Amino acid sequence: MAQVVRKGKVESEAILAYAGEKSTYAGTLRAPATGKYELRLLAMDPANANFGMHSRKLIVD
Amino acid sequence: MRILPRTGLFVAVALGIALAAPPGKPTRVMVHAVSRDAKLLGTHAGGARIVLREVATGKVLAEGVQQGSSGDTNRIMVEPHRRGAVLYDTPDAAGFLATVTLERPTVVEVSAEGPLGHSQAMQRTSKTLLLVPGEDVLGDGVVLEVHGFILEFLQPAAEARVQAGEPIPVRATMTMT
Repeated sequence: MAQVVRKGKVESEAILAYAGEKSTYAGTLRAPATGKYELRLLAMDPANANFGMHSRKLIVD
Repeated sequence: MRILPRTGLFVAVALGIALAAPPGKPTRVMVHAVSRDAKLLGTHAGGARIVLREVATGKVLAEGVQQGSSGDTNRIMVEPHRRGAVLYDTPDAAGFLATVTLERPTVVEVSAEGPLGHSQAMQRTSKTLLLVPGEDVLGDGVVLEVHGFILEFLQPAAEARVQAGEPIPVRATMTMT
């Protein structure tokens, strides 16, 4: 899953689907209003207690 | 003249202590850090930092980095697991062979931190166990399970700029730690 986050609030999110290449996933988010955001990747497998997260900055003009 | 007898006494006491201390025995301990529901944390992921520490004192007895391949896929991921069968200790498989010097049975904490090549996915896990001088722990040895996924962005680029209301294509990889 991918999320656009600002001040802890999720502004936009999308499920990433298998993209046809090994271990690769893709999807499309909608850019929110102008500002600085965090773009967050989140993977969850609670049945195996496995989670992953990675984030980077996103600037919306 | 008054110093000499004291010096002699000190030397005698120190010698006595040295002779009384039991000699340490080298003891080998094989450690494997494995991804939860997957394979070993190999060199491809940066490996894992392994530390063996005496619980009573906190003293580090051995440390190093697990390196090698992620292991035998069939054996770990496909075939049924049988009690006593070796899962991880196969040729070229990642692992860390520690040698600790023990003077007495000692409770030791063994920890693994990784994957070292992916700071956003780093986790630490540990367990404690009693080790006995000279009793090597080999084969699969001490197995430590590290939970989590490694996520990496392929798109958009770092600190990307987009227009409000526009679509943001996201592409990423997800692998087990």
